[in-house]
Amino acid sequence: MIVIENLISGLLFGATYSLVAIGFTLIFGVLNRLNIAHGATIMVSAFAGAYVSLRLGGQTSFLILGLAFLVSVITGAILGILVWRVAFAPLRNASPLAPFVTSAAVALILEELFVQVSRHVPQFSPEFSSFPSPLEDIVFNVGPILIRGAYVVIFVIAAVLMALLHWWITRSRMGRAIRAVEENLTMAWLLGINVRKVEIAVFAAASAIAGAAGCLVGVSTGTITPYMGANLLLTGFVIIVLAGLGSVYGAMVCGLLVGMIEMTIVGLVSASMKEAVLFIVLFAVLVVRPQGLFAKLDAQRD
Amino acid sequence: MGYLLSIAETCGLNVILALSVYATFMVGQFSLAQVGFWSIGAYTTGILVALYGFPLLAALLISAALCAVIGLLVGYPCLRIRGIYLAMATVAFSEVVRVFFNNFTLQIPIGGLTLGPGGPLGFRGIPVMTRWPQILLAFVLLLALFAWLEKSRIGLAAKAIREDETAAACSGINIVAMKVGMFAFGAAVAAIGGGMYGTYVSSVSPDNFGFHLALISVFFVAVGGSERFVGPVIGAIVLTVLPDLLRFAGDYRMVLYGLIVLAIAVIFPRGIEGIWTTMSQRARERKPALAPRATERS
Repeated sequence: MIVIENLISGLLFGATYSLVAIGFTLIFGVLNRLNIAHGATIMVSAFAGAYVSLRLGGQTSFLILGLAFLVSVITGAILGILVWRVAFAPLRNASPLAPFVTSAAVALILEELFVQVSRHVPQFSPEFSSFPSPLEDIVFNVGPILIRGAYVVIFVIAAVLMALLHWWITRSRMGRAIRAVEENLTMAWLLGINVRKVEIAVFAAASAIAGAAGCLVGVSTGTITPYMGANLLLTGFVIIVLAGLGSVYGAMVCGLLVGMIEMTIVGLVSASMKEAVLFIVLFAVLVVRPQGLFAKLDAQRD
Repeated sequence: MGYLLSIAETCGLNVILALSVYATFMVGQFSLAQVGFWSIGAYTTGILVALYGFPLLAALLISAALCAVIGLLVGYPCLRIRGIYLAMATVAFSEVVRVFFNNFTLQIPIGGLTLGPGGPLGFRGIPVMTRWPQILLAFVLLLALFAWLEKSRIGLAAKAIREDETAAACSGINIVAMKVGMFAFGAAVAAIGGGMYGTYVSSVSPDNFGFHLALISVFFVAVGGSERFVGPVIGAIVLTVLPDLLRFAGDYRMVLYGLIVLAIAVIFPRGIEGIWTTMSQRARERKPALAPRATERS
């Protein structure tokens, strides 16, 4: 019974991982670069949402929780554009290492900045700040299985966001441009697609989704820390490689999968083993099937 | 004086880390596994020295050999992947190593004390055997080794692979041997550095060797410059001294540190070592055409 409970919780909570990974993989698909600052974006957005919730007393009101969510999403989008401007736009023709370093530097800056923010802003506390929400006490009983209300809400919101994203990528004009750039950058450029605009749109959308993920993770765990981004980033790594770099739908599925693996291992073995198992799975997939489980692009091989 | 000396010692150790990252860079591979080898080196050397009474040099050489073997084992399957994929696989390796040491206990009572790695608590009480003379010696030897390597046939072959793999293969360079060899060589260098680090600070814990250190080790190479071995050396020294120079910024010095790394990476993509090349190239080109990065897309 415990196993089923863990699996369901993992599936529901895994939706946040899917959100983290979608943003990550979307950026990779279009720019062919990893955005190391993605984790920091999640963290800053979570802090922004938590600030609203703490300031307005989000312990009881669903309205304030909604407002906090919105603030997180907007913060994420703005931050995403900023990260693009600072760390990616100036390095158009540089080696692949350069954006890795600049975005990692941005991540470091944001992390260190928010260590100070959490120390000096009275609403936050230095180590773990709380993210109050009315969802904390809600628990559903389905027969003998307990399901946290927060997980259900997370799953629903994440599913709605993914559906929206799917619509945006497949139906809208910008979505078509994004897919064109993903397919063949030079061709898209020659056809008159404004690549710069596409990049900004992708960064804004991916980071807005990251902001949503930050808020949802904060709400479900109840606490946020300046270092939460780094862990989510590593989980995001695992998911997008499992899925195959650039595969958005693969990232959705693998996020849920990783959530289930994690929860089951935490429940059955120990919390400290979950990362080891994930990374061993990742390593195995990379060696056996480098293009990922839901391959779209060919991985580079010798 | 003691304070300056300790900074110099840390510089020396970080230079070793930077050079080990650079070793895989020489063949155009971008590896974050060095932190994993660094921690394996620190733990192995620590265990040999503290629990079994090995002399430092022997312990370092054994650690280096061990990491070279692990490097071969890890490096060979990793050959199938490149670029970002390799970076991720090596991150995975480093994290697995970290989690391994987080769950690894080997405690032996010695002289009334229980010594040895204690899982998440770390490994305390490693005898301090590395001081400035040892670090200086390792620093000079490694510098000489890399200077020779870069001029040797191996270095030239590595450079050829980095510039154009297909062309290198066509001119008879054994790509597989070169890549795996350099990966293992980098692993061995990292193990020696890690072993010296462990016997220098005398206590290590798995948390010392996280993703953060992996990023910093890449910063060394990127800020210094990745085209010649001088680059990582400069980068490691500059980035080790920098936090101390930024003491005036108080709590915000690491923020400032990040801003400086960001500025250098954006303004001088070739690193500090390549400032002159970058400047003269810019003077020649003046206004580069605004074209998308089409060439390096895989």
